[in-house]
Amino acid sequence: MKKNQRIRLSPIPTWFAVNMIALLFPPLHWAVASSERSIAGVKVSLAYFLCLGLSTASSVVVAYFAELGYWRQK
Amino acid sequence: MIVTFGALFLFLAVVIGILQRSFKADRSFTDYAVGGRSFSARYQMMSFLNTWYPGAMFTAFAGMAASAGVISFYVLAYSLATVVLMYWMAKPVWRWGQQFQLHTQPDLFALRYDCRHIRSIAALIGIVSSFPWLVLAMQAMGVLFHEMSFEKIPFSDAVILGVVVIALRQIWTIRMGMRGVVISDMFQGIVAYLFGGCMLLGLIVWLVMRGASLTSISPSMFSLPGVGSKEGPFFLFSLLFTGTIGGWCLPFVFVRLFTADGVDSLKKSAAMSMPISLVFCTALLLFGMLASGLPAVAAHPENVWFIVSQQAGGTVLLAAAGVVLLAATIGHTDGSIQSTGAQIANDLIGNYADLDPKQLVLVSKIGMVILTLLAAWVASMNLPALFTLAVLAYQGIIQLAVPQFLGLFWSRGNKQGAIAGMLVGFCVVAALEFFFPHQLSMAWGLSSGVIAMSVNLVIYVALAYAMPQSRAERARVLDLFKLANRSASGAVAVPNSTMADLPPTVR
Repeated sequence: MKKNQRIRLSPIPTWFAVNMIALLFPPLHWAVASSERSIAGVKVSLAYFLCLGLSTASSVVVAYFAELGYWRQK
Repeated sequence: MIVTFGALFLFLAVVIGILQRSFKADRSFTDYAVGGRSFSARYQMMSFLNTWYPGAMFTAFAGMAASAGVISFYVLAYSLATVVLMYWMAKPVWRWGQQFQLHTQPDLFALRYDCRHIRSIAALIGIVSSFPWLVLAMQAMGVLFHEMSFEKIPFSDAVILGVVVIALRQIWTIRMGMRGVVISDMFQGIVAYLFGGCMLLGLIVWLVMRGASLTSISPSMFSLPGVGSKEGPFFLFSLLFTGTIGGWCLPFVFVRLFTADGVDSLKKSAAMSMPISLVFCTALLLFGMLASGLPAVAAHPENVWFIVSQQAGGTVLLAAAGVVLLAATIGHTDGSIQSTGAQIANDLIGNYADLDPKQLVLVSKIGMVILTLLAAWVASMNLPALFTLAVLAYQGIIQLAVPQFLGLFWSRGNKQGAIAGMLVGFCVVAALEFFFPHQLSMAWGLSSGVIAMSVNLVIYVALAYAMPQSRAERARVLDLFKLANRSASGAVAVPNSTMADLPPTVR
């Protein structure tokens, strides 16, 4: 039972970790530093911050609902 | 002026009315310092936001967005990452706080490292480093009153007026302690971030209708410091790293972890604050960038909030802008003064003198009065180096991060490493800033705080291995970790014999 629970919860810490790496990984900062490139009309630097913000905010909300038992297998 | 000052007066009257209605005599120091650990997720959320986002968000950060562009979004990124850290450390911090009646951040250091002196060292670093920011917040009130008077009140007089208003407001902070801070944070937070957020969205629509768009903004506003930039390739990393971990080193932010009524409330407050934080902060920074095309904003970007509000909605909207900024500023200032007062009583004087709870509350109140008067006096002086000092202070306070975060999640760390690392780290910051001021490029953009923290970390880890804990200390720390990690039902029991030994030198 304990083992199963751990397997179910592991995506959340992984998501937290990926967000932290995306936040603090300098090569990624250098990749988006240019003001020339755009994604769907939005400059990559702005898109980086917006996507990172959305992912970070979502991770905590999803983590909270996961702890409450949402998405748990019946 | 009647409209603008009338709105500010009305707002202050409502805040004071709420505080008067909710006044309740504190029965213990726990009531006074952490509101009796009684606040639900909603109060926790708004209290965190009101402490985290000061009035400077509307001036300094909106101004940065208007003048420097997308780099200002680092504040969004680290503000959200800070909440992730809150979610991560909610369980150990709250459980230790509740079990051992911790009231301040240095209390947690003393418990974890079983050392009385580390409490005072951490408190001194926290108080000294927070002081310049308190003074800056009081001075920001001067900007507010200067703008609300349509620049008729000279700036120097406006600063004194702002200081007087903030100081008067502290009467209720001193009387009511943390309970007053958290209750007023709810109303102030609604005004600052919900009403303020709606105002921002409205102003963005107004700017777009006047032709502003992301494509009309200068391309240079979208560049970030990268390889070959004058700031250095690690400049953005430094900003994000120090911002993320530094937040929880601030004593007035950290104490929020002790005011909740449970771990679940803390986690729920983190989840609730995320969407508000994301929308508010994104809207604020986009607003600043979109407004950068206005000539008046280009001349005075730090006043973008007032300039656009007045242009879009005249005096009424300018008054609303003033109220929003006042709400954000007061929430931040109250939290800072309250937590510093609690630290003076609990971690400095109370650490070496035997004070009963009533005396602790009294010393805390006296500390707050002295702090308010001192900050008001310094704020009314024209000190040009204050902002530099505040930046330096932030690099200093993040030295608390190593013993704090590693202490929560790594059982091997000891008090020798914690104290030596913090002190050496603080001295390295001071030395770097003294001998190499404004020379980030020499260190590829790394700030003095990050360099010092790496020294701090090496010392902490080296001493953890060089001076292993005694068997009893090891057992004590492992019991603390078991307590933090047990299930909600208390499945892992902590041996009573060891628990009784927990605070021998701590209390």
